[in-house]
Amino acid sequence: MTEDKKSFVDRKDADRIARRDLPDFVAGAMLRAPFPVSAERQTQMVEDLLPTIVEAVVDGSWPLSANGRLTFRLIGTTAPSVPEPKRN
Amino acid sequence: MTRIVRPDEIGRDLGATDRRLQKLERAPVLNNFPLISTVNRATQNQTVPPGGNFDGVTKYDIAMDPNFACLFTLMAPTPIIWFSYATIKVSAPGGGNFVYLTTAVSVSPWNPAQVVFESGSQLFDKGIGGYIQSEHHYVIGPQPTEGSIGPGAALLNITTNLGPLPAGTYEVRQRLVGDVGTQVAYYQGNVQVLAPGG
Repeated sequence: MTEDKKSFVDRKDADRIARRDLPDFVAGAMLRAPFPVSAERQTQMVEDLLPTIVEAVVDGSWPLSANGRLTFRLIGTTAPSVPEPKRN
Repeated sequence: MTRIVRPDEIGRDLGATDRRLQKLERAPVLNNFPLISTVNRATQNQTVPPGGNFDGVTKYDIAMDPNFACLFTLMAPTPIIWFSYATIKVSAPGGGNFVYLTTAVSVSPWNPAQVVFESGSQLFDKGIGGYIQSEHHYVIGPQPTEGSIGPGAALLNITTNLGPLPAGTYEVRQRLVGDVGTQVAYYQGNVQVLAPGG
């Protein structure tokens, strides 16, 4: 939760932390994807997500864990229950 | 064109899915990514629109499995990330070329007339044969950003500038709108919603 959380992380550090932690986060999230997502596309996703995450870390709305890491909590999901179809 | 899937192919696919699920179940925290999930899903193998073709304007809600609505609750204003996936096949019995998928949030219970946020991309082209897989990701936060992967996954740029979502219980659904005359065989759709913490 974000209430009463103020960040003392400057933009440079927030950028460094996000670049360090986001790739693992995206890779973990993609393990639940219904189809394989290539490393190249995962890199693209990191770049897409980065600006907002950096802003959120700087303004404290995305608080870091006690050990200074960016953490994520899965709060809702849909789930595939059958294999993906083969492409024609 | 359809093809009969050999039994060994089915077994291979199911085995791969089982292995991935077992890996997730063994590791409640994976890559700094806690897995606190509820199992929710759209109704699989549905036709959208359920009768007739798209009219170029109307957005059709993807039917959800009634036992697996996609809900999440925020206790305070919170930024969120979502990953929205879809696998569909576009046909065009009445013409048209493209179908677009959006992901929308409404205060729970779902009410299409009270969508508080929606973003979209995933441009599906009838010119691509067979099923097409695509993904759209979005961060609702101080400066929302979005992106897409997949064939022809152009952004719709329908998003609005919105800060962290207020406290409340929300439902997420996928919606489709298509060029006049198109129709979709919707194989499956999935959404992951993530918030800070863990």
